[in-house]
Order: sequence, then structure tokens, then C-alpha cells
Amino acid sequence: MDPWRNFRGKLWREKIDLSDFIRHNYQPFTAEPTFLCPPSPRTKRLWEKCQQLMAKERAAGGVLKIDVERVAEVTAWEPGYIDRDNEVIVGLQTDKPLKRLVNPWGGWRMVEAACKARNIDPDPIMKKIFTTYRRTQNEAIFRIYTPAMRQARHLGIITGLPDAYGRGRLIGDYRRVPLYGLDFLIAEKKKDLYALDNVDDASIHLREDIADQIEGLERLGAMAKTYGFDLSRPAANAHEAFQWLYFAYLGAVKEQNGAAMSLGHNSPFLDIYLQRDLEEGTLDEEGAQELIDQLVIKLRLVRHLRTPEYDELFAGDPLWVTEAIGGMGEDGRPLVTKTDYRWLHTLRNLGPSPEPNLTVLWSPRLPQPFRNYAVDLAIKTSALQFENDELMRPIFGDDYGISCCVSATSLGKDMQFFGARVNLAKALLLAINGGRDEKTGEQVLEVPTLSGEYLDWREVWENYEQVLTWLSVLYSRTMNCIHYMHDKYNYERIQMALIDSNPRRHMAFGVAGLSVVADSLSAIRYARVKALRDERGIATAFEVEGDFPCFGNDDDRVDGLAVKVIRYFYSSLAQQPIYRNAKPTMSILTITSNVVYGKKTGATPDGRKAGQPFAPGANPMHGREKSGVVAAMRSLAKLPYEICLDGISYTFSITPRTLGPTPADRAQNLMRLIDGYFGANGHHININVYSRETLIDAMEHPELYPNLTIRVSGYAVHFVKLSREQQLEVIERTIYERM
Amino acid sequence: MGRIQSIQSFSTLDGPGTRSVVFFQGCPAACLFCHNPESWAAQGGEEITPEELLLRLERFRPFLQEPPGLTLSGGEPLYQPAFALALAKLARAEGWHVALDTCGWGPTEPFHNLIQTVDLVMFSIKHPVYPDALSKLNPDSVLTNWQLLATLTTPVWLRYVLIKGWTDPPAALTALGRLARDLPTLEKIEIFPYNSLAESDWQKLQWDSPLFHEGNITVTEEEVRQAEKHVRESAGLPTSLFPSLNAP
Repeated sequence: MDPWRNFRGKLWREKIDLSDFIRHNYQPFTAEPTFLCPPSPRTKRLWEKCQQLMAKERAAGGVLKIDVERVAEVTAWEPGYIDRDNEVIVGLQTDKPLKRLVNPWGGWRMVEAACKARNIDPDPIMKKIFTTYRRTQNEAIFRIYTPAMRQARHLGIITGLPDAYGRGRLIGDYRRVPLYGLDFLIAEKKKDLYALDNVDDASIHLREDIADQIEGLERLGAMAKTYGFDLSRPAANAHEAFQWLYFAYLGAVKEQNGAAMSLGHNSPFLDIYLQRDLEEGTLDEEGAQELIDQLVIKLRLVRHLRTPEYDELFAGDPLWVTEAIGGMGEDGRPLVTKTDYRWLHTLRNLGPSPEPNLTVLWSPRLPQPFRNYAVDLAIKTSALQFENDELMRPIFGDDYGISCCVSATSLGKDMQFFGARVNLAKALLLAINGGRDEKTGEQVLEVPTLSGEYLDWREVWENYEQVLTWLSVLYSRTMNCIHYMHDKYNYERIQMALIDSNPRRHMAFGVAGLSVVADSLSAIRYARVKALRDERGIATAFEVEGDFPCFGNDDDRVDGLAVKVIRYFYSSLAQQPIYRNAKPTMSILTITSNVVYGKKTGATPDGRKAGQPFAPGANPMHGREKSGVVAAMRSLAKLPYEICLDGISYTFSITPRTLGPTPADRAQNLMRLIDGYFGANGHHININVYSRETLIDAMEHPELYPNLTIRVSGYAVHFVKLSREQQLEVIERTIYERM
Repeated sequence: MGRIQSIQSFSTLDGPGTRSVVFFQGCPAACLFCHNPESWAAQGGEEITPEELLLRLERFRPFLQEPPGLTLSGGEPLYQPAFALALAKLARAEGWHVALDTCGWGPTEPFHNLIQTVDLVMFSIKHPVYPDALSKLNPDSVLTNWQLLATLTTPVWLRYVLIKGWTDPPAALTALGRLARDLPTLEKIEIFPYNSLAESDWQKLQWDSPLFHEGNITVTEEEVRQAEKHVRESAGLPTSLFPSLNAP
């Protein structure tokens, strides 16, 4: 049977062009979703079994099993199953569900620490190989780090660096495997490889990349063969399309343990296959929903082995299997299909869950029933995030996915070098303390000592500019080291094989602590701040006399300071040479690490005490948004997206009653808030609708809330999987509530 | 020029729909259970013209349902009658639905003018007979203003805080029902339980209220429902006046 039967369009047949294929074949769905089905009996039985396994995993302290004998590689494991009678989509990372693999490519120390935390000894031969014969990414990077890089890293000024595990953040265009089959993709890569015959470094580097990619695709085919599937040809029906797509993703997560392993934007593509089978009478709606439900079950089971320190930074075992839903096409038609609803419907069929990280690409032009459905679901589950399609589409086109938490990326066209983030608040303290670290007293750089005991706005800002300039140089150079070595020793051959051979590259820089810095600068400028210095001359506390405006109240005086800081820092970064000519982007994002960053940062001039958590992402500091949610949104929306293309994360929490008296009011009001925020050029919003009492109760009685899902900065997490410290921080956050 | 204490950009609790709320600075009522005692002082807050204030509010407008709501609250808006009137006129001219949240304080004429200008009055009755027991309000003056409402067409919501031992005796509730019955423009009666959070607001100012030394003055949801029932039945009021009875 012709796998491309009944498909329209020409361009996509001759060269890889998913956009063209989708534009010609997808059917927008604008009606009410009355067609949705409950989970099939097979799905129910399978999910039941998986839930038991996950309960066991929780009871075992978070990790069920580790395979210490094999090295992460796509063909390393024989086929694994959960329940063959009920499994419609097959394939596991290892040979058993929830059994974690060891990935030494990123670094051996991480493997050892993770195993040690679980009282398991790693395999001595593997250890010998990866410590004696084979250099890892981690080892390679640390050999070339300068003392200044090491210092900034250990003091927590530059933090969360992907120098000991996979950088993640790449989205392979997994749809290419079902649409074209591996033979076609390999042939295209070979053309690219042989077309490049220059002998300059850049060309040879790229040729080696492509050669690796071809090998990755070949091994992906070999892995699928062990499960009895032939990926060399295109998928011929919906079941195959789902299976092929999942195998492609599975290949990536077998080999790569990046923090974020996102999936893309697959609904319109998969819908074309489902629709064709429905029309041919070989599938019914229950079968269509079953395919989605079972794919989602598989995505919820992906695991990686992490160290306790990693878990503290990125709580709740996240993988950012981010999947974009909705959005508008560039031709003016909505990209909403029945499958977008089927995907959202998994939150009802299988219950709310952090993974996959469902992200609605939002526009006021989306079909109204879809808008209603998404908002209603967000209120009921607190498991959705929304991003502004009108802001991203003009830059990324209409075929983009969300990488990690909030970062748009054109599918198959872009790749990013994940850049972690710098702690802007610590940088400010360097400016105040003559370039010395406020915790250890170490001299980090030379800046003038401030004159009086009261902080002078001009002096502080001039020093801060010096610190930010210095930091942008050190930061970009550190990233260049990391990604050079990551490419060399831990290359993502399967994901990169599903991206164009010479993609647009982004260096995704990031900042944390923006609201702390904005408020601190505001205090210095509009009130009087006295620095209380210890015998070393380091300011360990601050006394603020008078009032000052705080970020999050739609007050241009302080909001302008926040903008000033990120503009200055970004323009310095943009002047630095960047590895492989990547374009610098920036995020304002913390994930759950705002707690750890706060812990590592001394008292700040805004009145924040030493060790207190930062606000998540770009949020205003807890409790300082005195003017309510709209004013906070207006402040956030002033942060310029054009220099923060990696994303500006805003986490919004409100009690049901504050949102409106009835469920219908709540949905309408929330929709208006999102439209208002995005209309003002806000980029991203996490929606949480719950009461503080619920969270407190869940903290005390976690067994009653195994599925309570909440949105943190850019992803969702099971509340009960957070540490107590993180739980308390979430409870402390501003939850809009009025008595 | 007037003085405001603060702005709340989004509320679903201070009138219909979604609204912004302007808290006026200054209140002569000095209620013993006030949850915003910082707003009492006439000279605090931020000075602003009605025009500037409206410009600030307009920035919130795209986030609010149509028509956007604006509630003048406080403090006591009628303590700055010219400012309140100017803001209400400007906002209404720009299409805002304007509500006045008042305790009924003040001379008749400015009260009359402001009521005529706004779309809704939310009249907080502190006590139907003895407001002076709980505040510095003059009972006659409040009653005069309440009666004045009956001569105008502006719809009215009556708000009442139930405080154990103070505003919940049957006689008080019967009197409240009578006030409600005599007002043809009354649309809604909202009875709220006393909220003990007020005490921490007073503590912040290092103030004290005799109310806080009276033992337990809080009421349960059930007691609120019983009070509503008493008000309704004693005065023969229609259930449609009580939103709690029409809740989904």
C-alpha cells in the first residue's frame, strides 16, 4: 500500500518540508469537541499497571531500578515491554519500565554520584573505560575551564551549567521519520555530506556531524527492527505513524539525558494520519484516542538517572517532554485539529500530570470552542501553560515547538546551545562589594569600592555595568567551552539527524533574580539604603529608609529598571564571539532553582534576607505585588521579548473564588486575563488555580494528593515530589486572594 | 487633586464582573472592625489628579471584561466628594461601569450628586440602628442618606458584616430587613462573616480595638445563612435579593 496515498501537495515529496506537507493536508477543527472518547479498556489496564509501578517507584525513594551494566546507546537493550496484551505503542528506554539507564558520555562523576546516592556500585569495567580510555564531555570541559570560570561556577554566579550531563534543549523533528522513513532521510543526509568538500575547520566539523547523524539513523532503524518494525520506509497508517514517531523520540532519550528533551508540535501532523484512517474506515475514535493515550503513557515513563544536587535544582524528576498544542497557521487558518483536543483530553483520561509538558500556543484568533476548552482545563488541572503565538509566529514561523520550558524553536530548522543562567542578584552584590563575593569574600573582579555608608545610585549603577560587562564576557566564553566539548564528546546524533544539516543555531543565555535586582536598584534610587558592612567591608545586610516602588505594580520607575538591566546585559552578550556563530538569545527563567539561587545569595538592598528564595522566572517578588494581578501582568509585559527570545516565564497563581464567583465566570475572566497579558506582549504564563489550604494539606498528607499537579517556572510538577523547602516556597508565593 | 491609598487592578468581589478598585485615602467612620485602618488618616496616601488616575486605570482595561468595572472604595470616597465625583464622571464618560462603595457618611448634597453619577451603590450598613456603637458614624445622617437612595434610580447593593454579639442579634437583623424593604432600588443583600484578619492590620499600626477583647466574635457560614434567612423572612424579602441563595 502506498504510504503517501491520498496526500496532497508536491514540494514536500521531493525534499524534507513538513510545513508544506501539513499545510496541504491538515484539517482545521473549529467545532465543539463532542467527539472525544474515554480511555479504551486496553489503555485503562495498561495505565493501571503503570500507576502501580510509579507508586512502587515513589515508595523506593524515587528510583526503582538502575541498569549499571550497559552504556546508554540506542541499540544497547533488547526490546522491553510493560504489558504486551495491552500495549499499543511499544518501546522502552531499557528492557524494563522505569529502569534507569547509565549515561556516562556526559561525565563519569555524575554517574558515580547518582549511583552512590542509591547505594549501588557502577560497573568497574565501564568506569575504567570512561575514566581511562574514553574522555567524557565533563572531563574535556573541566580541562579547559579557566580559573575565573571555575570560580564563577563554584560561587554560583554562573550556575546550572550543562557541563556534566546532556545539554538537552534540542527538538529533533521526529515527524520526519514517519513521513519519509529512514532510507529517504539517510539519502538526504548523504547528499548534504558529499556536497561539503571544503577543508576548512567549520566544513569538516559539519561533515563529521552529518556522518554521526547517518550512523544514528542507521542504529535507530536497527533498534526498531528488534521490536519488529521496519522504519526504512514511511509509515503507512496512523498506528505506524505514532509508533515511528515514538521510536525516533525513544532513540533520542536512550542516548541523551539532557535536562529538557522536548517533543515538538505534532498534533496537525498526527491528525492527518488519524483522519485518513478514520476516512478509510480502518480506525474509529476510540482507536484514535487510544493511540494518543498510549503515546502519552510512554512519555510519562521516560526517566533519567540524576544526582541529589540535580534533583534539588530541577525538582520532581522533570524531563520537559514539552508538546505544543494549538497555534495559528501563517495562512490564517488555525492549526487546531481534533488531535489537539485528543492530546489535551489525556489529562482527563489519564489524570493530570506534569509530563508531557502541554503548552498551548495562544491567539485571540483561535477557534472559540478551543479557547474555552483549554482555559477550562487549565482551571481544572493547573497542568497547562500558555504562550503567545502572535508574538512567536512572526519570528519562528508557524511550525515551531517549545523547547524545555518556554523557548520557541523552529522545528527541524533551529538548534539551541542551552546556556543555563547567571545570578543577576549576586552580580549586583559584586558591584556593591568592590568585586568581592558576598559569601566567601573572594575577590572575583576589580571594581571601585563604594564611598559612603549609604548606597549612591550612580556609583552602584556604574559598578553594575562593569560587573555585567565582565560577566557577559566570562559567561559567553564559558558557554563556548561547554558546547565545543559537548559537540565533540556527547553529540546528539539522532536528534541532530532530524534537523537540517546546517541549522540556525541559538546560544540560549539566561538570567535569574531579575525582580530582586529591579527592586534593589529601585530601593537605592528612590529610597535610602544603608549598607551594613562587616569587618571585611562586605555588606551583609541593608537598611532601607523610606518607600520605593517594587516590580509587579505597573510602576514604570521600577519596571524601567528591570528593562534597563536586561537590555544592558543582552547588548554586552551580543557583542561577544559565540561558538559556531550562534545567535545569542536570552531567557528570564529559573525553573525550581530559584530556591537554590536564593540560598546562595546574601542579603540584597530590596530587603530580601540572605538565603531567601528568589521569585520564580520573571515573577515579581513574593508579596510585593500590592496592586493585583493585572498590574503584575502589565509589569511583566514590559520586558522586551525581542531580546529575550529564549522566553520570559511568568507563573500565575490564583484562588478559584478570586478568579470569579462561578465556573463560567472563572473561565471567561481567565481568558480575558490571558488575552490582556498577551495583547500587551506578554510571552508566557503558567496557570495555577488552587487555594493555599489545598497546598498546605497536600504537604501534610501527601498520600492523599499523589496527582496534585502545579505549574512552576516553565514546567509542571507533582507537588508531593518537591522538597519541603520548595513546597514552602510555592506556598509563600503570591496566590492572588482577597478577603 | 485627591488622595488615594492604593489601587487593586483586578477584583471579582467588589461589584459585578471584573473591576479595578481605587481605595481612597481618609475615612471618618473609624469602624472598630475595619480591615483597612491605614486608610483612615486624611493626609496619607498618594496625591493624584482624577485625570492621571484614570490614565493609570485605562492600562488595566484590556484585562477586564466589558464593560470594565471601577469601584470607588476606601477609606470613604465621600470624604473627598469633589475628587470622587470628578473621577466617576471621567470614568463613566470613557465607558467604565462605576460603583461606589460607601458607609453612607457625609452631608446630603455631595452624597446625592455622587449617587446620581455612578452606576451602582454598594452601601455598607454597619449597624441598622446603632452604627455609633461600632463606629463614629452619626445614625441620623446615615439614615437620611439611606432614605435618599429611594428617591433616585441608581441600583443599590446592601452590604453587612455579621459580628457575633454585635450585629447578629435578631432585633438588629429585623431592623436591617426593614431598611431593605423600604428601598425599591435594592438589588442585592450581601452578608459577610466578620474576618479576624482585621486584627493583624490593627496590630501593624500598634492600634487596638475593644472588639478584639470580646472573646469570639467570628461567625460560621451556617450562622451567616441563618442571619440571611432571618432578614429575608422577617421583612418578607424575595430570595432573588440574596446571591448566596442563587449560587450555582
